[in-house]
Amino acid sequence: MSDKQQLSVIEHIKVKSHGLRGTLKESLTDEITGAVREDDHALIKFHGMYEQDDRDLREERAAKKLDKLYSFMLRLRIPGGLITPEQWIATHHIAGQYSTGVIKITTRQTVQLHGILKGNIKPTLQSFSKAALDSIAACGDVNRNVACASHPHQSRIHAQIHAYADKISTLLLPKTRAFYEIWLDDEQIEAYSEVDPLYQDSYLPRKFKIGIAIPPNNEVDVLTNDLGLIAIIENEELKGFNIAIGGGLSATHGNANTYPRLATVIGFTDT
Amino acid sequence: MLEEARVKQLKELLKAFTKEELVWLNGYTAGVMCGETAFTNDNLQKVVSKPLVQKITIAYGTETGNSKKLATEFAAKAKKNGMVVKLNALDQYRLTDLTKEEYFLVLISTHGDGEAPAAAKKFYDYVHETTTKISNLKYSVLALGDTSYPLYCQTGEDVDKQLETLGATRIAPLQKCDVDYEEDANKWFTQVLHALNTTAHVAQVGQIAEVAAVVKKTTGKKTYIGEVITNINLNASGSNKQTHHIEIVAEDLDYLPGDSIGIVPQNPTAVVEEIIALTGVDANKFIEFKKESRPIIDLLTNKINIHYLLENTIKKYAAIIQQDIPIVRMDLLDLIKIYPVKDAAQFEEVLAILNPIPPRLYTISSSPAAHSGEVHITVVKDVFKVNEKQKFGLCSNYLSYFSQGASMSFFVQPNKRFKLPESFKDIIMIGPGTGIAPFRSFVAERDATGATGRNWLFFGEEYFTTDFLYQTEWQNYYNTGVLTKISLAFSGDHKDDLQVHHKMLQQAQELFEWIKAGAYLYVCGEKEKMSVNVENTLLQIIAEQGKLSEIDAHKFLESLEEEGRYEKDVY
Repeated sequence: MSDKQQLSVIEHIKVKSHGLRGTLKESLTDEITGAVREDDHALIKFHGMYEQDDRDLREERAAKKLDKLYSFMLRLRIPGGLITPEQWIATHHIAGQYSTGVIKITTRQTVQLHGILKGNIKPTLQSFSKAALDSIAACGDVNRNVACASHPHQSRIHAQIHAYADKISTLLLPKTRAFYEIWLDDEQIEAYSEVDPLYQDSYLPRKFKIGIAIPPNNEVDVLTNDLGLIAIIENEELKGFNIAIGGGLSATHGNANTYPRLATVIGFTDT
Repeated sequence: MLEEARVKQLKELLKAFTKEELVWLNGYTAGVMCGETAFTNDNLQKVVSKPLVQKITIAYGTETGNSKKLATEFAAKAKKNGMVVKLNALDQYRLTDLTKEEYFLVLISTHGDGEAPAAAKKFYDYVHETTTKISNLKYSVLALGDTSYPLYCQTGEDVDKQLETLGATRIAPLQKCDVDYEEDANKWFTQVLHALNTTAHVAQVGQIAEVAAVVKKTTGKKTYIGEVITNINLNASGSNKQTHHIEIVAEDLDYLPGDSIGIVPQNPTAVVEEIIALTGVDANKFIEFKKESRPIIDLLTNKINIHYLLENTIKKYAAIIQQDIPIVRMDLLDLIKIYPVKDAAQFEEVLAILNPIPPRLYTISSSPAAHSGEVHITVVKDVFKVNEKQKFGLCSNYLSYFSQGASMSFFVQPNKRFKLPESFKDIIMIGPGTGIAPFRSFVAERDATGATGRNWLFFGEEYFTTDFLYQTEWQNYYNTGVLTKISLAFSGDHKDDLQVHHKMLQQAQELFEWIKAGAYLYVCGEKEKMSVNVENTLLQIIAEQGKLSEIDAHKFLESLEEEGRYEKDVY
């Protein structure tokens, strides 16, 4: 990356963010607005959230001299979409207390809550933390929730393969402690000393998606992922994975260089 | 600060001055402090009336927030240059104000296929539809856009052209900016500043002449007949409150920040009609009430209090109808329903014992400097229950139904104590609920006059999302540096019923530092609980931070009060 001139605004924000901390702590103490500071918009995604506002209310609120009604969408990190009954019940209560009360289950096997006010983000994440759930890297330019054939109890193999989803998710987490410091009040690390050999300070240019399929089923739509792993099973033994790369559904409107494409299988790796 | 003898001397001297003269004197001493020595009678007038700053309005219409960001930056920059800046989002801009503007800067983006952003649609349509000439307006437009769209910066172009068509004068050419707008935008603003500085001279001369021409105003309680131009409920849907922001224009208005207006509410027509029907009295018959002869319906509507009668009045009523009535306060309508009068003649006797409608006082929430020719009030609709029946406070209910264009009569009730200090002094304002009213006036006045003192506001209400009164105005004042600090307590958002005095305690150290540095404290709003809690908290902070005994803390606060540095407007 020698030519920094060409980089977008977001890239500069990431690099300057001290490990995704930015001014999020300060944003939380800005009482006068329900929004976070401008540069933090990009950073809060890495913590699993998007800032939104109710467009239908904009005009009415402006006439009342009220700012836009800002709130946050929170997405959890649930590798392979597996959560325990206790975690589901906790999610249910947390959704009722701090969000619109609606739990949305996404195509990437995770859960989204909407309408969380800025002041309620910390209590929400702290409650989730008690249930051993987090939203680290659920949005943002990093590896997203790892999708995986969804029923680990279907067979011994399923459980074994699901463990890969969990392992990959953990392995590809950003190394920064920012999430714990900002939302869970963990002590701040002096001079932000974490080193992240994988993501470094600029993270990825865009989001990155990984999916694992166990034939003959393909519920994760494996070839639409940046990285698709297709389990190869012989005599009820996991032999390894066929690896497919370069899949994706996104296209930027009006930019012909971006288009949806299926992943290409490039080879096999054993376990 | 002064010796006692000198204070006495000064007080004696000041007694002889009228209010206007004191205001003048205030400016005079400020001038003396600035180091200007040789005053002669000839230049005194100029010293007082010469505006040190020039007023501009910056309005933005934003789609993604870029024009807002720029507008805020430019506003702050202009203020640093000693200008008085009104910063407005176009969707909050009162279109009829356009004819009153002098220097008007528009920052506007273009949406998708050459359309105005939703937030600027009303403004865009207005300038294209109006036929009112705005030949006094001097303007410049900054257009934000994206060259990858064919109709690049179309909205800005349209507005720039249309303002010219309406007779306005362009002070700097239209500047179009692409997605990397920073450099071009700054270039434009530098150009604008230059244009403003070169025209400023002329404007100031004009304003001096205008000020000198103002005739000396008369004192005394004058009744104004104003016209309501805005009446909006500030609370968002879902709120438990209904707080009305009412703007009234009137001629020759004379008030200062901190003053109140008095309004005599009308009784509801339906109630008056029911009383007339029940008593059988002739609505159009002229009778005399407090030395004024008027038709009964007029008296019952505009003059006589029929609401929550005094115990003493109930006693007199019982004597007239010669019945035993429990002496509890109630409305006239309920009274005549339960204990009817014999006939119309007896009711006329009753009318004679009733009291006139007392005026209700509302602290003014506008500033003479920022909202010239207007007076604003902030009125919460008083809702309460009597015997499970929902009732409304008479005047707040009456005011909530005023529509645009309706006329309203009122008088100005000065409040001599609740006044802004000299412009360089710091102020701390504590005003939860409608207690915010005088502080909107204070901060708007200080913004419009370029006062340099720091301003710290404590505000509280029920919910942040629905009840933050004047939120966008405070944000503008905060972002442009006029409002130094704002501390908020939204009780409904917290399990432990957070109130303003809790917020004061949380910032005890800084609060005490401000006080030690000479800050003036103002409290406005509810009396019974709020002002008591605030005062006790102040005493606690003074004792703890100043390491004083309870008695000394009291003495400290008393001395602030004596210096006029602790003022309350509570009700």
